[in-house]
Amino acid sequence: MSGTVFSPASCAMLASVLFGIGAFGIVSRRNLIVVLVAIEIMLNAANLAFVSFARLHADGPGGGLGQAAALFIMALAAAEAAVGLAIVLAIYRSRGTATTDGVDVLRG
Amino acid sequence: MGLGDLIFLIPMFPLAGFLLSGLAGGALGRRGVSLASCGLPVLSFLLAVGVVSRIAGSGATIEQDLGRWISAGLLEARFVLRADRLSAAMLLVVAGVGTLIHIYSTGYMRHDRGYARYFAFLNLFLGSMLLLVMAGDLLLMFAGWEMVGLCSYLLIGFWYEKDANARAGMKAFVFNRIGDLGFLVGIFLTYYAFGTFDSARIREIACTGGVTDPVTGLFRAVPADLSLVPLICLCLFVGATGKSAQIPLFVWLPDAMAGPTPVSALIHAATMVTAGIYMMARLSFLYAMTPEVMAVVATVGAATALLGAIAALTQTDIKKALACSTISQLGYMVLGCGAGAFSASIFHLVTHSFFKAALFLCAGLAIHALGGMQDMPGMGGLRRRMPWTYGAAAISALALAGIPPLSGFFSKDAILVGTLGRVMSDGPSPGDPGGFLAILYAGLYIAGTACEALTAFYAVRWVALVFLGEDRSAPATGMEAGGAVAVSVGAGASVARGSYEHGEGAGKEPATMLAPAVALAFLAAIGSTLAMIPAGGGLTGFLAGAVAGPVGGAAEPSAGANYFAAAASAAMACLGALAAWFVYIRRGHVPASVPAGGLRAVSFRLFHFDAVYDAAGAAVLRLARGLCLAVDRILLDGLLVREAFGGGARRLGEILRRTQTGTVNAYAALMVFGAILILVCLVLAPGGGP
Repeated sequence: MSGTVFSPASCAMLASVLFGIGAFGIVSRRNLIVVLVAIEIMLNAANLAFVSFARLHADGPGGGLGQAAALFIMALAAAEAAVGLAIVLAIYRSRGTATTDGVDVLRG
Repeated sequence: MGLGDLIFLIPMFPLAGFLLSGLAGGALGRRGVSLASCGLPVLSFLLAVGVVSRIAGSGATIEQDLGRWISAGLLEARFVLRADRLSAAMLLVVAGVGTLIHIYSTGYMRHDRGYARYFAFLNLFLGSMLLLVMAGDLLLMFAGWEMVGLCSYLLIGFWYEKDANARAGMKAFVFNRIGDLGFLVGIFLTYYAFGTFDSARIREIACTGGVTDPVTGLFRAVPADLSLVPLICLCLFVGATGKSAQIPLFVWLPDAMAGPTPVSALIHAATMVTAGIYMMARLSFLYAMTPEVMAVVATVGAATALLGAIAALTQTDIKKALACSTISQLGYMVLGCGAGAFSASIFHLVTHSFFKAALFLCAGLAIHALGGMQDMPGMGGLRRRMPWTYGAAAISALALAGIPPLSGFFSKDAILVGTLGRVMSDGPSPGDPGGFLAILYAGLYIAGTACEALTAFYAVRWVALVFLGEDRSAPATGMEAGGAVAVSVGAGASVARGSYEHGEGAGKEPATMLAPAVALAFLAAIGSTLAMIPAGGGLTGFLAGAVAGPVGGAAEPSAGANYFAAAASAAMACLGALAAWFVYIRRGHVPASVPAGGLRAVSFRLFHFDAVYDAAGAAVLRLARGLCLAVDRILLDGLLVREAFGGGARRLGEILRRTQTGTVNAYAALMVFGAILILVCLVLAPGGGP
């Protein structure tokens, strides 16, 4: 890490871009696996924001809490992936498809 | 403990009998029930005799305050029993005739399954009636009034297995309720005007404008709204028309004959139906203040007297004929009240209770002897088989007919003399320049006198059809031997009631039934002496202080008017009796059970009042049904359900359901959009932003 220029603004910008990509992926993609991947991207955008601001405020009160939150999010992301993939698998088994178009039983 | 502390026992004895027979009737057995339910009224009667002799001696009022009854804010009603001269006269009649009819009932009902139930109700009635008579204030009187109405309902429908009987009970109850509403409104108005329910206090305030403290003798003026008195009197009269079977609420009384015959004698002839007369006499001082309302009362009374008498001319049911006669005689009493001859009305009430109860008891004996038959064209000739019954019935019928010197003549004459007195005193006055009231009362007097002829006609006709002529009951006597008999003769005109499981024929009248009938007939014969004793003006003099005297300070009718009225009454009665003698005895005419048509049918069906009420009731129901239908279909179903709430919700749903695409991507897009919106709001909000 030494030698690189640490800029909070660039980190926040990167995190925002990642979050936007993830959100766009969820909204636009039909494939459920890809939607799950987009969700992972959004979670990691949040993670990036946490760790970069934790670094920035490492000496202040509550320093290190950001890293702790990042760890929690990783665990959460793993759980989410496991449950999400299981759901996708179940949907595929029951309906023969894994796209968002195929799962519209709640249509009004 | 003086007599004054014991008067509460007069109504309490029969009420105790009600509890005894009602709760422990099975354990007591028939003998025990008979003993309790006849013995307790005897005790009441003896106590009443004691009370009356005390009052007759001193003229004082005996009063017993049994404590607070209703207390709500300023309103306080106390449970006060009071015996003055008016209630004393009623006490003797109610307890005396009531006791006799209880004894009669032990014979009449002896084979009935509901023996204990019957006597429980009869005792309850007697206690309620005594309570009504002794009530010191209008609220307590209303309680008694309602209780006797309940007993009437229970006893009309006593043989409730038969649908017609149950319906007759309901009809009586409903028509009484219409009157009761008027009575209740009258009571409320009285309280509004006078600030008290107590009839003695109302009288004091109405007559003197205030209250005199009995201890200190200090007079305290009480402001009372006397302009309400005519309205009060009208409302109370509506109550009287219900209970005392006046036009237009009389239609329940002929149907009330569905009950056992002793009940018809006690409740629907002698006592309960006279409650309206008693109430008006009790408040006579209020009526005396409003000549206009009195004119209405008198007119209704005379019209009812005529209507009842005309209806009685063609009845073929032995009890219905008497019921129509009761309506007519009650009309006479109301006419007396309307003419201001309140004591004459009470006099007629007393004599009527004697002769009409006796007639009903004789009718019961005849019905019993014929195994339940009530159709007069199927009777006849009972004179030979039942001489004692015939004698009692003949004397009572002549008393009803108003043949001198029997009691009915004197009491009816007293009413007619009172009416004639109004004609003479009500000349043209400042308030009535045309002398309208005098003309009206003259018309009513003529109607009342003409009605005497009709009364005599139907009374003699009744005796002739039941007791004289040939025995036409051969088929019925044949059925008697068959055990339980349920005879139904005539197309619904007369229906056998109850269970006659006995087979004894005519001529073997049980003493328990014959003795009360004969005793009442004896009283009907000598009841005229009430006009002479006790000394000092007879019953009228006895009641002088208790009811309002002649209205407007009118002088007593002259001796000439008295003799004229008496001669006219006697002549009319003899004329009617002779006509009936000619038609039904000399020529032996026997009417058909149901008249074919024409004027006879109009009389037979009581001027079709029932049909009119049925039609009017049906019209009202149809109107109500149409109204309900319109409200339900158009307002509720149509406007509210289909258009406003239901339709609106459905249309909103139609719009909103388009947002529910079921596609995850759309939901996610909305979520993102929402999140951005929240962010924008946070940034733009005052004090927000980075």
